[in-house]
Amino acid sequence: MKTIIPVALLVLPLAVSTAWAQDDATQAVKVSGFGTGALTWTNTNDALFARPYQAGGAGTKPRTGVDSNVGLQIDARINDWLSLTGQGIVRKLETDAYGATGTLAFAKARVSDTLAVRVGRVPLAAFLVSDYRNVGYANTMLRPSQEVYAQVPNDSLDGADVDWRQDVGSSSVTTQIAYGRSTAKLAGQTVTFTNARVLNVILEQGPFTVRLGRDDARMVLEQGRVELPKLKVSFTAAGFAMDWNNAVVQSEYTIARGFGATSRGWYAMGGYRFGKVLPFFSHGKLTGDVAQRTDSIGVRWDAFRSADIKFQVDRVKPEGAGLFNQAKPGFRGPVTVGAVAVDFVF
Amino acid sequence: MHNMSLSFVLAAILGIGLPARAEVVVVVNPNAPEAAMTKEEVAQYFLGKSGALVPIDQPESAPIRAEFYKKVADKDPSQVKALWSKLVFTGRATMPKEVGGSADVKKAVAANPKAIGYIDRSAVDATVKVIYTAP
Repeated sequence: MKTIIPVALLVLPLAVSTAWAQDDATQAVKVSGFGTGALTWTNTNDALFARPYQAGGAGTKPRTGVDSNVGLQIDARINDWLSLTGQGIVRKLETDAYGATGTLAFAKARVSDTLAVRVGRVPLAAFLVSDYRNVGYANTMLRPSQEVYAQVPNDSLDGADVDWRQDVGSSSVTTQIAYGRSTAKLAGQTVTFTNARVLNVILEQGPFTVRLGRDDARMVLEQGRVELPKLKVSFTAAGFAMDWNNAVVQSEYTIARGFGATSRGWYAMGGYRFGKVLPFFSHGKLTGDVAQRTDSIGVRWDAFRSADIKFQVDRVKPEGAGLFNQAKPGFRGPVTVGAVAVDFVF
Repeated sequence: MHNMSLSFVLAAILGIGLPARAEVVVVVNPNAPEAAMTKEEVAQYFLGKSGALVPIDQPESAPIRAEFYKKVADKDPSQVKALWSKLVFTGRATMPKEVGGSADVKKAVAANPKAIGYIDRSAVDATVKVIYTAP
C-alpha cells in the first residue's frame, strides 16, 4: 500500500492526460479527478513536519505522505436544474497510512441562473481556498499556509448551502450561506462542529477577489474516549487574491475564538509569472496557544498540458513544537522543509 | 515575366512568413436577445463566472482555443484550466462542453438559444449571430 499509491500517483498524469481531451460533452455522467505526487523532507529528525490533520510527517528521509493525494469526482446531471456530485480523496490522515475520505456527496438544484442550493456533504468553505485546498493544480503554492489553514482542518460540512450571485456593474458579489455539522479526525482526537453557520461574501472585480467569511459553531473535542465540554467557537476570515498582468498575490487574515487563547493567523504570498514559470514567496504567522512562522520560496512550472511541477522550500520557526508532530524533548526550530510535487487534473 | 516571377516568389515568402492568423469571432443563436457583447462579458461565460449562457469550447488541441482565451481573457490554457479546476472540484460548475471544431460549435449554437461559442470568421454563416470580434 505504502509504495503502490505514490507510484500510481506519478503514473496517473501520463495515463489520464488523454482522458481529459476525450470528454464527451453530451455525457450525463462525468468523471474527473485531481492529484499530487510529492516528496517532502526536512533537515531534522527531532520533530515531524505534517499537514494539519496528519499524525505522521516527514523528517530527513523524503516521504510521499505529507503532500501526496489523489481525488476522484463524479458529476451526474439528472435534468436541466438537478445534478448529483460525489468526490473522494485518498491521502494520509489521522493514522500514518493512506486512507480514503468522502469529501463531497450532494444534490444540487439550480433554482435560477444566479441561485443554487446544495444538500448533503458540501465543502466547508472557511478560507479563501479551503474548498479546493486539496487540489494542488488549482493553487500556486505547494501547500496552503499551515499557519492559517491549521485553524480549521475540516474539509466538508454535512448539511446544506446556498450560493447566490449578483452582478453589480462590472463586478460580481457572491453570497454563500451554509448550515450543518462537520467532523474532522486528527491525530488522537476528533473535532466536531455542530450547529455550524457559515456566511461568506465574495466580491470579484476583474483580476481582484476580496472575500469575507464568518463561521459560528459549537465544538465538541474528543480526545481518546474523553469528550470535552461543548464550546462556542467562531472563526472570522478576510482574504484577498489578485492575478493581474502576470503578478499574482494571495493573502488572508484569520481569527479563531473559543478554544484556548484566541489564535490569529495570516500569510501573504506574491509571485510573478514568466510564461509557464511562476516563482513565488510567502510569509505566514500564527499566534495563540500554538505559534509558528514560515518563510517560503518556491516555483510553479506549468510543464505539461494538464500537470504542473512545483518546488518549494520553507523555513519554519515554531515556538516550542509549533505545528510539528512528535517533537523530541529539546526540539527547537527553525526547520528547513523541502518538497517537490507534480500536480495533475483530468 | 521577370517581375511576375519575382512577385510570385515574394508572395510565397510572405505567405510562409506570416503566421496563419485566425480571426476569432464569438457567436450565439440568431434568436438570442444579445446584439453585442464586451470582451469581459464573453470572458465571464468561459471562465465559469456566469451561468446565464452555456459556453461551447473548441478542442484543447485546436490553436483557435488558445488564441481565444489569450485575446478574451488574457490567459494561457494552463491558467484557464487551473481556474476551472477551482470550480469543478468544489462542485460549483462543470467544464464547458467541448465539441469537435467550428462546424460543431455552429451546430451546438444553432440548436440552443442559450449557447455561446467561438469560431473562425471564415466559418460564419446564417445559422449563427456574431456578437463579438476579437481584435
